[in-house]
Formats: sequence, C-alpha cells, structure tokens
Amino acid sequence: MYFLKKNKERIIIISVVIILISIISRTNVARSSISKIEKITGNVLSPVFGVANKGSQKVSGGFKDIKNIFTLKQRNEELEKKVAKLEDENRKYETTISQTEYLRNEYELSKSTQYNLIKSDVIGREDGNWFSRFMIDKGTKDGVKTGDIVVRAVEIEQGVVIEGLVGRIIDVGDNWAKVVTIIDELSNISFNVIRTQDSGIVSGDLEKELVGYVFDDKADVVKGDRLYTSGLGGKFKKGLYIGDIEEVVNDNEDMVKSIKVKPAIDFKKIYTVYVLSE
Amino acid sequence: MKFLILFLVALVSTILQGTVAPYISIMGVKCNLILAVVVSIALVNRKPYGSVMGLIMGLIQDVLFSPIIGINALIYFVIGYVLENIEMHYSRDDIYMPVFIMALSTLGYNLLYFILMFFSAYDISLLFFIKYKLIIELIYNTLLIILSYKVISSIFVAPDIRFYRE
Repeated sequence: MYFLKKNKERIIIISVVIILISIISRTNVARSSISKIEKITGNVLSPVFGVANKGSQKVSGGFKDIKNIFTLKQRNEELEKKVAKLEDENRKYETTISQTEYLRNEYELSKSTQYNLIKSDVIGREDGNWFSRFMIDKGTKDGVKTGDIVVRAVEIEQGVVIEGLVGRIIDVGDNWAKVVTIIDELSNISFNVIRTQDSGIVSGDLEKELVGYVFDDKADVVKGDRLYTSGLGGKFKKGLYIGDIEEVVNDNEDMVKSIKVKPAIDFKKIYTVYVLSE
Repeated sequence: MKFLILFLVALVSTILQGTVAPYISIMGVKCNLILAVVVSIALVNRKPYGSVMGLIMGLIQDVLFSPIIGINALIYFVIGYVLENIEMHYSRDDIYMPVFIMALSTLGYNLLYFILMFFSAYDISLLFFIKYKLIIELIYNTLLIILSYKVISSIFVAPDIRFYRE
C-alpha cells in the first residue's frame, strides 16, 4: 500500500498513457461504425461548429472589404469596363442558352442517374497541417452511410456537367459525417484514361496534390488526358471524374510511367458537396 | 468556478481551431491554438491543469476530426505533463520564456505526431513537412502564444502581493 501511495501520481500518468495508446491502436483499424461517445460529442458540437464556421466566413469577408476601401476608385473604373465586356459576352451566352435541347438531354441524364444525391454543407475542416479532411452537416438521419462517395458537380465542357470526385465518408454520426478527400494520404484511387483505356493508381500526398502511375509503361497518355474512376477495388464507383493529367514522367528505372494529376475540384474552396447514395 | 472557466476555455479554443484557423492560415499552414492554450495553462496554472486540459481538448479534437482517436490527446497530455512539472524561474511579465517553450512544444508536437503516425502505418514524408511547413508553423505559433499567454494569465492569476516570507 505504501508503494501505491508514494507513486500515486506516476501510476495515474502511466495508466492514462497506456489507455490512450490502446485507444489509438483500437481505432486505427477500419471501423464500420463509430462509438457511442463519439456520436454524442459530434451530435452536440456539430451545430456549434456550423454557426462558428458561418461566422468566420463572414468575418474573413469583412476583412477583405476593409482592405478594398483604398482601391475603390480604381476598382470602379475597372468594373465599368468589365461590365461592358460582360454584357457583350452575355449576349453570346444567351445564344448558347437557346441551344437548350442538348443541355436538356444532359439534365435528363443527370436526373435519371442511378445515384441519389444528398446536398450537404461543409461545416468544419481538419485542423492539423498533415491531412485533408472535412466535416459535413448530414448524417445517418439523412441516409448517409460510411463508405459513401462525396462528389461535386463539375463542368468539363460548356454545358456538360458531371460528377467530380471529392472523397469518401469514413465516419458518420446522427447529423454529421467525416469526409476524407482524394488528395489525402489515405486515399488510393484506381483510374481509367477514357481516351486510351489505360489504367493505373493515383493517391494524395502531403503537398495536397494527386500523384500516381500508369500500369503499362508504354501507355500513350499525354498531358490533358481526363481520368475517371475505374471501379476496381469497389471503394469508388465507376465513371466519376477525378481530374486531368498535368505532367507525365517516364521513369525507365522503375518501369512505370508516373503522372501528376490536377484534381477537378479546388479543395480550398469547398462549401457544398453532394453525397452519392443508391 | 475555475473548472467552469477551464471547460469554457477548452470548448472555445477547440471550436476556434476547427472553424476560424483554416481561414487565417498563412501560406496554407494553420496555427495550433490548442497547443498554445495547453502550454499557457501548464505554465500559468501548473499541476494538474496542463495535462488534464491537454487530454480533454485533444480528445474533443480527435473525436471530431481525426480517424484515429487518441493521438492528439496523447501528445497534448504528454506536453502538458512535462511543462507543468519542469521547475522554471522567470518573471510573470517575461514573455520570452513562454515563446521559447512554445517553439520547443511545436517541435515536440510535430515529432510525436510523426512518430505516432509512423507506428500507425501511415506513410507520410517528414522531410517535406520540415522543409515547407515547420518553420512557418513555428513562427505562427510563437506569435500566437504571446496572445494566448497574456489572456490566460490575465484570467487565472490573482494579484500576487505578499507581505511575509516564504
């Protein structure tokens, strides 16, 4: 007993450390669902996060306004010029709009898509500098499940709108969910080049870029080729737009063709996303 | 009363870190407000507040954002425990000491994070992080500690006037 009393503090510290390490190792495997405690904490805090996030968006907008005061006059002239130019362009676009039949087909296609799109807002971002993740305001109540795919509408050509891949849901609470983006280290995506039907793998890295390689080192892939998910592995559905090839590097020693990919989505400016569910 | 204030500080700083910090990032590097608060509390309030606050805030952060629960909690706990137990002699108005300690803590945090991630089988490149992010984070965090140390010490330290010998 004397030993216990004398070393009380050390025993507490060591047991806390051991408990934390065991929690880390327990939660480090892929989990199908999150624990009750996590769920409750998330449910309570996610509305607060939503409000605070909106507020800070407004505040950062306000700072920009203050900065702009000094350049108002110059800006006004610029804008007037721009308005004239835009009006001109607008006329051009109106003619495009009149070609609606083609666009309507696309719209119908997107309506008849097999997926059910759940619109959700981004309410918080991962706070470290190591990973790229965020939190959305839809959860099991709205039908979101772990492993669901998160997309955004991306316009690849004028009027052609398809699903651009954002990421995958790893944890779901009642009214919130955690999303891992494709530029995160955790993500590995198998892709297909539509033009040549070559396939390969891309994954995110710390520089917040997509890098990967093509399986066939003699493949004829060039800068600007579009990448789509191939559906291999079963984690990502087939035919979702990933991005364009930015750079092709021939690596003769490794017998692979490395590529650098520009994602279809600007991950710094994500405010609303869609969750795909069948 | 003290516990209520501490709990509020924990909650507010976690929320600020999750929502405001991404909007004020410098060159893509976010400041670490939670670390700053843990360091200030460990320096101002000493035992056992530093480690307990680190544990609580780390757990909240982990539950909300991290796929692996406990990593941040462990790191903040260890940092808080070490800081609250080190004997230091410096004046309360001296700001250089907290700044120096914060720089060391930032290094320690990132090193521990890398080690824990490494043993959780995540392949992350330490070199890239050191090259492009660590220095900016160091500067940003040391600026932040000045603010957070002033606020925390003004909340928790009563006027220190004594007329007897210790």
